[in-house]
Amino acid sequence: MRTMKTIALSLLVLASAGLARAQGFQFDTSRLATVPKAELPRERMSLRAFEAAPTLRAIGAQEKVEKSERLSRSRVAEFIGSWRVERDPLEGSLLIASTREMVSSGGETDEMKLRAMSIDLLNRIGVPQSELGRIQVRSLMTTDAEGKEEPTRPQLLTYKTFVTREINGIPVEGHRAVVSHAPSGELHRANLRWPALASTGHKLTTRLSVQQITERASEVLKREGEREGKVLLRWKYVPMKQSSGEVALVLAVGARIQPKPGMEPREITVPVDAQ
Amino acid sequence: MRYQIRFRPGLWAVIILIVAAWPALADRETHVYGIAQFGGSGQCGDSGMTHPVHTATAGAFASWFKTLKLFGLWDDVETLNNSSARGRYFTDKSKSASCSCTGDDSHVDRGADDADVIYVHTHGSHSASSPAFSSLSMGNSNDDCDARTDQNMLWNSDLDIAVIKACQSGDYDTWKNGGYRQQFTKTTSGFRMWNAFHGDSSCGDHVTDYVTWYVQSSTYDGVGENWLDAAYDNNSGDDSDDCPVSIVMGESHDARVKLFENGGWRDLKTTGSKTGSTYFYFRGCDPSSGRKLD
Repeated sequence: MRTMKTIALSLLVLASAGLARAQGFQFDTSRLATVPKAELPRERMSLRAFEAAPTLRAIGAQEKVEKSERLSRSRVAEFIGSWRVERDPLEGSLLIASTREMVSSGGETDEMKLRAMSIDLLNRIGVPQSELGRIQVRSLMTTDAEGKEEPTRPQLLTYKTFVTREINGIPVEGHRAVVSHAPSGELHRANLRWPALASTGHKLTTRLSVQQITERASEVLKREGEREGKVLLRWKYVPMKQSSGEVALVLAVGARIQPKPGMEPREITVPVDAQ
Repeated sequence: MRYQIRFRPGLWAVIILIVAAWPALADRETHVYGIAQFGGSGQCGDSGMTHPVHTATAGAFASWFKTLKLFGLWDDVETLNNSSARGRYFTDKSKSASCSCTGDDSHVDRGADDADVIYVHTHGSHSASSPAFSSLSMGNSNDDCDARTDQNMLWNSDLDIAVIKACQSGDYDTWKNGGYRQQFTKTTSGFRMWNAFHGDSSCGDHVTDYVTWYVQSSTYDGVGENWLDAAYDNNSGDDSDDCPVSIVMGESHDARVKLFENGGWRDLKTTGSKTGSTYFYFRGCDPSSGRKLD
């Protein structure tokens, strides 16, 4: 009997690990178990990646820039052979687009090969290995409906490799790269929002306990009009833009509320006195 | 030798008419509708629907067009947030009977069908069949509080492209059952792209980031493709992915793909007669309030 009680108690303790209740909210804190370290990786994305030369080298363009157009104070579009490159160091944006029409037929390409080609391209542009986070390959499909006919069988249009920016394993909000390849494996497009990292000014860690973060999350959620529900808490870095276009990272917690029917699932940022 | 050009009086009248009409014909116009406030006096819905970020994302979308305007690449940008985003501005005159308002979607500088490009951030829902439609929550309770693709909308004036950040605004089954075809466009309409979401889509500061990224990346091309790149989010396959989709109307698959990939703010490619449509999506995307896409 005592053994049964011990097992039941142990199961209860295990089930409640990483869960905390506070004023109508049920928090999942399992992803806050490890506090991020206050160090930046040695290699970092720099403003040099937004100069013309590294981008041209990355796509192997031999030609010179034929035409250049200014789209904003900091965004420039350059036309080189069958490519267009848009660079914006202040926004941390880089877009490489083939101006040739993509051939969407032509077999399929292995996922591992697509990952490898995408990472290689990003490295050549100047994205260091240490900033690469989750990598996912997705198939962009099309299906057609002519008039009132039934939709056609889905067709592969292009592959998309999504790369999340992570520092110390923590995702940076809003920063990602998407590399697109034709079904044949030919590079079609690469779109990056990946600003250069400042050398100073980062606040990468916190001294708040999980309990304190949970209480704070509860306050912030209430201010935002939320009253109850399951909430997943996870670390994230919020980029703070500097006048140079570089960003300094500030640690925060994203509080993601389980969606209610017909409502948008919300993620609300919780400050954690980062330092 | 001197030449004197002489115009007949009738020709002068034609020239004056063309000059007078030119701005209206040539204006490239964007309207943004951020509906953040709900549940208050004169507002729709309940206070739990209030999400301040809805107007921030609308501001981000408008901001890029203001920059293009500054550089002479765009003509006009109008912001109609909260109570200014009325049901009447999403209702065609021919559909007034099904609306507690007078359809006024072509109202100058306000109506959604008066713009070339619109962006809407609000709440949404859908019905997959009988009838198939999506519905968008509006900002003013003096008009309809829900603008439906079947009962209110008919894009037959100026609108070319709609970007909709609202849950269930581009549901696959609704599309399959004809919910975004003849219901809200005519074969002769200029309207040809509805960028939206299959299932629910998440809301927060990250939306402002990806809307900025999307709108800035789509100046030359990728006006459909960039939407999927920017707004997709895989949340560990737990039935809560963000599944952006693009629905393009036109005369052929090739013409529709061309707009999706090669159309941009500076070249809103035409797609011919709107006799068919293409649904663009990510295989395996699995949102809440929508089927897993295969």
